[in-house]
Amino acid sequence: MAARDFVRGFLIFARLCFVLSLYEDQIGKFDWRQQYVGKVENLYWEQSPGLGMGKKIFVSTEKNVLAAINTHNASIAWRKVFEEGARGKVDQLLYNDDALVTVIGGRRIIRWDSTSGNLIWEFFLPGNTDKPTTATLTDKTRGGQVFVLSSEGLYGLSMSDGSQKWRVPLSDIATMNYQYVLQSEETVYVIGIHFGSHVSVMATDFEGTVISTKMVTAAWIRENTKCDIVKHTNLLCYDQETDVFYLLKATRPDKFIPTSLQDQGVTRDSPVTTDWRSSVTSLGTDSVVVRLDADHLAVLQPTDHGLLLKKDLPKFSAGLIIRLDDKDTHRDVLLAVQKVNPEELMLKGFELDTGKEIPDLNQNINFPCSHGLPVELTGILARKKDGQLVYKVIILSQDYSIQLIHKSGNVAWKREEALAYTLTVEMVDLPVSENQAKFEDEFGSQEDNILTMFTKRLKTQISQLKTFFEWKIQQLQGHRHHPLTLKKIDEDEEEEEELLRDEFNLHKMIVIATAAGKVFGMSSRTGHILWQHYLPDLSPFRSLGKDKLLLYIQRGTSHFPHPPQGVVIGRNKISGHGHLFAFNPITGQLVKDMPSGGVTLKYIVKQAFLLGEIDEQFLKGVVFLDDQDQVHTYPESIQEHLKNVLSSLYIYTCDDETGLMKGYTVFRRENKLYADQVWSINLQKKQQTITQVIPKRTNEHVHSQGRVLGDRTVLYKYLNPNVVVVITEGEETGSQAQTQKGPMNFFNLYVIDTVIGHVIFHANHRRTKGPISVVHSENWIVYSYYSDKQRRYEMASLEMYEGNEQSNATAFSSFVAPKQPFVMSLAFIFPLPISTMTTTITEKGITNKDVIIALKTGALFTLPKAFLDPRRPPTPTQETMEEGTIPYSPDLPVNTEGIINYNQTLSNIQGIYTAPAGLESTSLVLAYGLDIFHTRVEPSKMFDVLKEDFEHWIIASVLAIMFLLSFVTQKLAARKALNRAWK
Amino acid sequence: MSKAKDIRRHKWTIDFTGVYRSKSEKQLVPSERYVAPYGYSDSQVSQGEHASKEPDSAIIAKKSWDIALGPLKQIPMNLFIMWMAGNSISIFPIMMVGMMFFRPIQAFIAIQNTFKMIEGGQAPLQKFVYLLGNLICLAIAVYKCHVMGLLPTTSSDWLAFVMPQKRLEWSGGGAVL
Amino acid sequence: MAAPMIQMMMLLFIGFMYLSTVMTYEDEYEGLRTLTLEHALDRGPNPEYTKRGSILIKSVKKNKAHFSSIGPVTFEEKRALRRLVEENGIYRIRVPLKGTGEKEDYVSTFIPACSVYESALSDQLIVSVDQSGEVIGISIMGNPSHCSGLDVPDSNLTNWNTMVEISQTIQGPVPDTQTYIERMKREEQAKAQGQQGDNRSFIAKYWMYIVPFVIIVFLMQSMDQQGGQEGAGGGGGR
Repeated sequence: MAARDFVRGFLIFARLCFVLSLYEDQIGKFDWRQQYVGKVENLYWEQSPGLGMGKKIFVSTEKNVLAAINTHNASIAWRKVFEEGARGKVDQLLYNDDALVTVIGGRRIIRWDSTSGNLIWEFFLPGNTDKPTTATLTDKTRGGQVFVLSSEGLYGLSMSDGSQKWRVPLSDIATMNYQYVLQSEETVYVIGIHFGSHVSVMATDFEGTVISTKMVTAAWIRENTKCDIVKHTNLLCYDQETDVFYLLKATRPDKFIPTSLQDQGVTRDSPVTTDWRSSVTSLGTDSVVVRLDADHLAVLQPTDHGLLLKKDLPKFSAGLIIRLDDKDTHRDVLLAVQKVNPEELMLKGFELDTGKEIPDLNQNINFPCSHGLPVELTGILARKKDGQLVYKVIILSQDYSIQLIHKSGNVAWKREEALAYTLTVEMVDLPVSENQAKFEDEFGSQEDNILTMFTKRLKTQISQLKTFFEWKIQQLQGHRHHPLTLKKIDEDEEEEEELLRDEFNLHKMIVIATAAGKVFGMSSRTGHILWQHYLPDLSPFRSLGKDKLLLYIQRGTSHFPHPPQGVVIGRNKISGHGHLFAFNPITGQLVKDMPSGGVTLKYIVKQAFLLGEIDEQFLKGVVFLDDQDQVHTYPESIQEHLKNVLSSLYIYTCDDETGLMKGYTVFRRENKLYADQVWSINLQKKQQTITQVIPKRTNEHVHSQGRVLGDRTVLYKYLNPNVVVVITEGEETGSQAQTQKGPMNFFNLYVIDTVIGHVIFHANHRRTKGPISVVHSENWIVYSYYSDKQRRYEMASLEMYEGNEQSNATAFSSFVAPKQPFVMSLAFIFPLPISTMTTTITEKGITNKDVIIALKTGALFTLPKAFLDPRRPPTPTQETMEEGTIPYSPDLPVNTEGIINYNQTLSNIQGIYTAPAGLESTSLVLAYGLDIFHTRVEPSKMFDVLKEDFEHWIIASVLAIMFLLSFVTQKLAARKALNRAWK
Repeated sequence: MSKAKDIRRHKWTIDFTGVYRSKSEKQLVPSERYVAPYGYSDSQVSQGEHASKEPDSAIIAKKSWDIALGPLKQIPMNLFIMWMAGNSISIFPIMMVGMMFFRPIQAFIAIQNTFKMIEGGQAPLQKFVYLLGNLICLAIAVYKCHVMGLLPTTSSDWLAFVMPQKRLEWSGGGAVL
Repeated sequence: MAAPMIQMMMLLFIGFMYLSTVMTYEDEYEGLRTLTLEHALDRGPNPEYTKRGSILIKSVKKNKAHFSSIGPVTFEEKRALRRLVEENGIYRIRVPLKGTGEKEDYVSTFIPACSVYESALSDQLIVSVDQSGEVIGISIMGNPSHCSGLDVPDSNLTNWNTMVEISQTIQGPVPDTQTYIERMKREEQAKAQGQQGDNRSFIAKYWMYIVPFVIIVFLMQSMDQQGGQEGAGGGGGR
C-alpha cells in the first residue's frame, strides 16, 4: 500500500519536475520566432480597388507556401503551408481582379480570400494527377471564370462558388501533353505538345464549345524545351540546341515563327546557360523581357513576323515592363537593374517605344554583394499629382531574398528567405570582454613565476578599476544626454549589439548554413542577422537522399590572440568538386587568403570531418577523403600536426548505393596522406537501404560514468565515443510476407564501432516504417518509427552498459573494450507524429537530459529522458524505487506544459540544434525548418540560479533587522545586568 | 521574591512547605545558618557513615561495576531504537543515529573523569569493560549508518570521482557525400 | 462437457500452429554454413590475403559455430607475424561473401598484430548475422586483448586457438501493453480488496505507531529516573 502511494507520489513529482512552461509575462523574453515563406516562385501585387494599390504582395513559394506579405513592414499578413512533397506543391498562383486562385498538387483548385487568407471554395479534379495542371482566370467583366486544364480535360469553373460549369474532354491524352491554357477576349486555347512531333491548339469559347482544333508541326520540341505564354495568346519556346526562339500565335495557329537573336544583332559572351528563364513578368503589355543569361536581358516584342528585338540589355540582370496609364494615353515603361559595383545596383527606366532613358527613374540602390544578382523585378508605377513618377519595386535575388525598394532608392525592407533552407547550425560562444580576457590570460600560462603573476594581477585589477570608472562616467554622461538623443540611441542599440559574452554565456552567435548557398551569423538573443555571405558556387552535398552542408567550428573564441574560425563545406555547383569557405564566425570576416565566394577544392569530397584534437594554433583541422582514397586537410598546415595523431585516426564511410560500410586508417607516403581500407561491413543492399547514419556529438560531456542501482552497485555505461547508429529500411520478401497483405516494411538498427568495424548491436523491427528519427547520446539511443502493425507511432530506447565492472577506468580503446556490452531496450507508444528529435546538451553533462521532439503539429515537446529509460520496471519493487525509476507504462505522457514553443506553431521543422550555455542547468535550443525558433530549456529546472522573483530585498532587510535587534537586545541586556548588580 | 527574602531574614521562621526555597536549597543539607528543626536528629547520617566503613571496598566495586556496565546496558535499548528508526533517511532516524554516535563519543571525551571514579582492585577490568561497552555502542552506530547507506562503502559512492575515459582512437566520417 | 473439449482442441491447434510457424521461421537459419576465413600478415595498403581456415556455422540460433584451421602455422607466417609486431602493424582478416556481381564482396576487420602475437594465437571471432542469415560483419578480439610487449616463443605460435561466436539480429523492443494492463488489473483488485477487507480494530491497524509511542514514553520515564540517580553520582556514564 505504502509503496504504491510512494510510487504515485513520485510520479506526480516527476511530472511536476519537467514543468517548463512559461509564465505569461515571460513570453518572448528569451525566445523568438521568425517566419519565412521560402523561395518565391510567383508574386502578385495586391490590386484591391478601394484601398489603393500594393498594400500587400501575394507569393507562392518552392516550400509549398502561399502567403500574403504586407508591403509596409514585411510582416506576413497570412500564410498557408501545404503538405510537404508533390501533394502540397503550389503549381500555380493566379491573381486577377482580387480573386486569388491556386492550383495545388496538380488537382486541388482553391480560391482564397485575399484579405484574410480564408478558403472560399475548393475544387478537386478527378482522375490521376501525375501530369501538370494549369489554369487561367478571366476578368469579372467577362463572366468571372476559372479555366483549368488537367491532363484529361478542360474545365470551366465558376469564380464565385467553384462549381463546375462545363468540361471538354481532350483527345489523344496518351501522347499529348496538355500544358498550356490561354485566353483571348472570347476564346480559350488549349495547347498540347507531342514531343518531337507537333503541337495541337484547341480553341473553345467560354461556354465550353469547341471551335477548332489545329495541329502545328514542331519536330524540334523536346521535353526540356522551355516554353511560356507571352502576351496572353502567344506561346514562346526556346530551342537550346539551335539557339532559336519560336513563336506561336494561338489566335492564328499556322506555324511556329523562328527567330534567332544573333540575326537581330544580339551578341552574347557565352551560350545560354542552363539558368535560362523566361521571366515573363509583364502581362498586359506588348513586349516581354527575356533573360538570356544571369546578367543579360532582352526585350522582345511578338509580331506577326516573329519576335522583334525591342531592346538589348547587356549587363542588366532583371527587368520589368509596366504599363503606365496616364490620362488618356498609356505608355510602356521598362525598369531594369544593373549591378554597377559590388555594393550597388543601378535602376534605370526606359520608355519602351522610343528606347529613351527616363532620367527621373534612375536610381542607385544599395545592394550588398551578399545577395548575389537580382533575379526578378516586380513593381508598381504611378504618377503623382505633381506629375512625378513614383514606384515601388520588389527585387528577388539569387540568394532567395526579397527586398522592397522605394523611390528614394532606399531598401524599405528585406526578407532573408534563405533561412527557410537552413541545413546546418552551430552556436559559437561570443568573445569575453577585454578585462575578462586578461583575467583568463593570468591563469592561462603556466611558465610564469610569482613576480610576473603578481604584476599581471596588479595590472588586471588596475584596468578593471579603470573600466569601472569609465563606465560610471559614461553612465553619468549618458543620463545627462539621454533625453535629447533618446530616439537615436534606441536605433543604434538595435543596430549594434555588443558582441560580448554575458555572465552566463546565454548569448551566443548562431551560424547558419543554408541550401541557398548563404551563410548567416545571427544573434541568439534577438535573432538579428549580424553578418551574411552569399556563395554563388556553393551547393549542398546530396547524401542519403538529403541535402547536407558541413559546418564546423575549427577554433572557438577562447584562444585569444587567434581569431575564431569556422568553415562551410559543400559541393561546387558546376564541377561537383568540394567547395570550402572559411570565416570568422563572430565578425563574419573572411579568413586570410579566402576569396569572397569560397575556394573550390581540386577533388571530389567523399567524406569530410573535423579532427578531435587541436594543434599548436588551437585549430582543429578538417580532414577530407576524396574519391581516390587520398586524404587532404584544411588548412594544409595541419598535416604536420596530423603526423602525430595519425596512428589513432580512423575514417569510415557509409555508401547507400552499395550498402557497404568501410573503415580506413590513414598512412603517409611521399608527403601525401592516403587512406587504407581496413574493415568493411556489408549491410545487404539487396534487402535494405541505408537511410541514416547518426554519430554522437563530439562536444558532449558525460559527467557520470555509471548508474547507481537499487542495491547501490554501479552499472557502468558503455561510453564508446566512436559508435554510430546506422538505420536501414527495406521491404520484407519471401514466405513470411505472403501471409500478410501488401509489402511488409521493416527497419534495422545497427550500432557500429567505427574504429574496428564491429557490429556491437543489431535489432530488427518488423512491420514498421519510417520516417525514423534517432537520438544518439552518451550510452543511449532513442528512436521513433511508425508501427504498421499497430498503426501508431512508437518510440524505442536502448541503453548500453559495460556491466558492474569497468573494463578500463582511465581510457577507452575499441580494441580492448568489451565487444558485446549489455544492451537494455524498451519500447513505448507515442501518441503524436514526430518530425524530428534531438536531446539537450549542457556544459558538464550533470543535468538530466530531455529529449526534444518536434511534432508534425508544429509543437516542440520536451520529454525527460527518465520516461524513456529502458530500466523502467514492469512492476515496481523496493529496489527499483530506490533506484528512482518510474514504473513502466507503455504510453508516454504528452502534457502541454512540456511544449516549449507554447502557441508559436512552427511549420515543417527540419531539425533542432541544441547548445550548452554557461549555466549547467540551461541548454539553448534552435529549431529550424520553414520557421526559426530559439529558446532555452532547463531539463532539471534552474538549480544554479536564484529565481527571478527571489526576494532579495526582503531577505536582506530581514537579515539587517535581525542584526540590529540582536545588537540592541545585547545592549539592553547588558544595561539591565549592570543595574541589577548595583542593587 | 521580596517576600521570600523577608522570610529568610526571619531567623526563626520555619518553612515546612518548601515553596519559597530555591531548587538548590531543596537538596542541600541544612546549613549552619538554620537551626535544626525540632525533632530532627543527625544520628541517621552518622549511622550510615558508620555502616559504610566495613564493606567499603565492596560498595566501591559495585559502584564501579555500575559505571563500567552502563554502556553495555544501553546496547539493547540502542538496538531497539535502531530497529524503530528504520532505514529511511529522514530527520528522526538521523537524530537517533546522531545520538547513538554522540553518547559514546561524549563518554570517550569524559573518559578521564569516569576512570577517576572507578576504584578498587578490579579497576583495570572495569575500565576495559567500560571502554568495550562504548566501543560496541559506537560500532552499532556505525553499523546502523552502514545499513542506512550513509557509509561510502559501495562503488556507487565513489562514482562521482570516476573520471571520464580518455579517448584513444578518433574516428570520423559518415555517409558518402 | 463437449464444449470445453472443443475449446481445448482449438487452443491446442492454435498453439501448434503458432509453434509450427515459429519453427519454420527458425528453420531458415538453421542450415549449416561454411565461411572461409582469410588473413593478411603483410603491412601496407592492399595486402595479400591467404587462407587461414574455415568457420563452420552449425546453428545461428543456438550460437554454435567453430573454427577449423587449414593446418599449423607455417614458419613463414610466424616470421611475417613477428615482423608485423615489430613494425607495430595490424593483422587483418576477411571473409568472402557470395557477391551479387562478378566481384566478390568481403567483410573484414583488423586488430593490432601484437594482440594476436601476445595472446599466442588465441583469439575470438564474432560473426554478425542479420535476420535472414546473411553475414554482415566480422570482428576479432585477442585473448587477452591488450599488448604488454611480451615475447612469445615459436612453439606457442603453432596452432590457432580460435573461438567463434555468432551474433544474430534480435527483434527490436515492442511496447508491452499486456503486462501493464495486467498490473493495472492487479492493482485494481488489490485496491478493491483493500477497501473491503480493512475492518480490523484500531489497535490492529495502527499497532506499529502505538507500540513505539508507548515504548518511547516508557523509556523516557526510566531515563528520567536514571538521570536523577546518575546526577547524584556525578553524571559519570552519560
